[in-house]
Amino acid sequence: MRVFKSFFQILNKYKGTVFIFFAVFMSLSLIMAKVRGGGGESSFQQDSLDIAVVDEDDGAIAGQIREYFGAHDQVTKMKMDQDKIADALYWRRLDYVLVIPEGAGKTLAKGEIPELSCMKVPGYFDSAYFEAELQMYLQKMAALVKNGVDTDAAQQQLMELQQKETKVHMASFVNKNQGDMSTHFFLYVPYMFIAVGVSGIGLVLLRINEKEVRERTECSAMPMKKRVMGLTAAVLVYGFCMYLFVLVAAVVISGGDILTDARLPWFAVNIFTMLLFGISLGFFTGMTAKNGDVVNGVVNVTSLVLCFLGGVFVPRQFFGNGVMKVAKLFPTYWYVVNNETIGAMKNVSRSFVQDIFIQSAVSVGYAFVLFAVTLVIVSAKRRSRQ
Amino acid sequence: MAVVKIENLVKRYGDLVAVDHFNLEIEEGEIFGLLGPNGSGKSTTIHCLLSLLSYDKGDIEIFGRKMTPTSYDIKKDIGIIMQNVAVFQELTVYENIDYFCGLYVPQKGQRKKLVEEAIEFAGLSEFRKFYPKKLSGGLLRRLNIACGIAHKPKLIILDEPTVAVDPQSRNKILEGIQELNRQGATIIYTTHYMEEVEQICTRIAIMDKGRNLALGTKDELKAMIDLGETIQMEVMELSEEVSDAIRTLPHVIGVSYDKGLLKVRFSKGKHNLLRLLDMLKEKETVFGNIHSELPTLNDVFLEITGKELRD
Repeated sequence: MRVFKSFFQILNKYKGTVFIFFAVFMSLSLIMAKVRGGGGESSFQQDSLDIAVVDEDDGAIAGQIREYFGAHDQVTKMKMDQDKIADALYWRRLDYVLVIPEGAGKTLAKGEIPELSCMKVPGYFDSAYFEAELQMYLQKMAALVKNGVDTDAAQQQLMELQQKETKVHMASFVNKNQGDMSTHFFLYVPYMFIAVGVSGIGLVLLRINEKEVRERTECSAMPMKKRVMGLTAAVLVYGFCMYLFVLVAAVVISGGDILTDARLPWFAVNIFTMLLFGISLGFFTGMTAKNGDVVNGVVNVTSLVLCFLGGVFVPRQFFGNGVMKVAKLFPTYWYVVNNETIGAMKNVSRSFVQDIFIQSAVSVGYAFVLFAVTLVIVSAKRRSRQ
Repeated sequence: MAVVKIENLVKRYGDLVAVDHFNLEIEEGEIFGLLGPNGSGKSTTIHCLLSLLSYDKGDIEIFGRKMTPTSYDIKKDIGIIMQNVAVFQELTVYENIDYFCGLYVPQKGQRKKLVEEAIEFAGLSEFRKFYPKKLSGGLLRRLNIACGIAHKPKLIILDEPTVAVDPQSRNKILEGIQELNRQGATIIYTTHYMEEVEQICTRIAIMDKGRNLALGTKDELKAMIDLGETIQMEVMELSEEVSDAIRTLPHVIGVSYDKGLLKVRFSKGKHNLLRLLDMLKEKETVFGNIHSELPTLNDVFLEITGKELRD
């Protein structure tokens, strides 16, 4: 009991560090669950500009341009007045002022592209779209005229062409299997279990295994078996608290809906596999690290590397073949695959259960291998000390 | 009954023999000093004694029973205070003592009383809620001791507990050790500070190169060597003739003169100072400030090993 209690007394001194990782996890998972989990994707919306046309040519071209672009933008006629134009641009009453110089109509009638000048709000990105569109209009018009179509007929054709609307389909970067809030929330659990597991368990074990304290403890009357049991119990309780925290948080952010979600037991199984991995990694770090800086380094490096390359922070759909091959080496990858499988669950089929257990076995396998390796290292260290 | 019995202990690190056929018996109620320079094998012996290290040969018995890593019934009566402070930086003074006491005494009520007594004993009452990093070096050492003795052990092993401690704290620690001994504990005290050993130890073993070179009380050890006393005096000028004349005096075993300080070492004998003063007067040699010293354990160590303790 004394060893069990001391684990939490020591941990209490590191509550700040542990809390930071909790906070990062909660912020990240909540924000991402809200932003991406609500099914909201970035949408497309057509914007319109306030454009004025200064006609110095006094021909048909100004009217044609006003007609063509007036379908989507606010196009007005304006006389050349530098002060007035500058004033309108400054106060953003206009976004763009197109100046059609004298002779522009004649040039276009010859099938050539006239040189137009402009005045615009500096650094305004949308005007670049307008310029590109204008250039395209002039090119098409010149091409038509050059091919024997008169300017009015060409204008007519272009207007008809413009009426044809293109459907905009937003390509989704979000995996549809991660679409709902719960799936998103659970997606970020590996970060918490790795960061909080390694920092909490690792730092406490490091202190307990410091040479001087370890020697004093080994000289004591408390059998090693009892000490190990006390520590194991403490680590398990710590892990259980993390597990419980995640489940309670999931219930809270889903407004209780998760409790009636058939996927909950499967999510619970999946996060349990990651909990085992986080605890094993914490055990490994605490028993092998030389000092607290090493533990902190392991926390940051492993949590970020495993989460980035495992597909937690970056959807694995973005991974190239090479990265994907590497990603498959990480337990977080299999966790994410499981999470997606569970997220897309419609019914509990045999193949679903098979997939979940096989993929979970990878994470659990990693946890056991890490645990076994740590025991071998600890045993070798003990022998070398003797 | 011997509280500690070490027979023919050998510990090797590869080709290096750290402890070389070491024998020792410590009786109940003793403050036993294990004296030797750094690297002489004191700490290795203690680590073997506590089963923290395996050894190549020999037998170790504590309280008449063979000591092994799982001898928890023996360990419950042993308290250890190592050279480096072994406490948790994350726990307060009280929590640290409670933790280490808890490794021996599971009953909470009994432990609370023992922890309070240890805090009182170490003079840490005002600092019970302090974290170790807030304590001075001396207080930290006292906390280290309190953690080792809170469970009231019958045998207390202190491995150089006063290294890098200020004189005031050192005296406090030494007084504490004597008090523990008065309360009935047998003490094993390892150090390379001979003054400490002279001050508190009832029996002393001198170690070097893993071997037990001499064993006995401080008087017995001093009696083992030829040196009786060393007389030092300030002499403005010392001629070769006078120096040679001093060497002819009875019991003189060494004469040295450096920077106006004459040192004459005598073997055991009477009236050495009188004879020396008569000689200087006869040779009309001006002198002043005379000082006579009895042999120290350093002299014993010097004579036995041919080198200073703190070499």
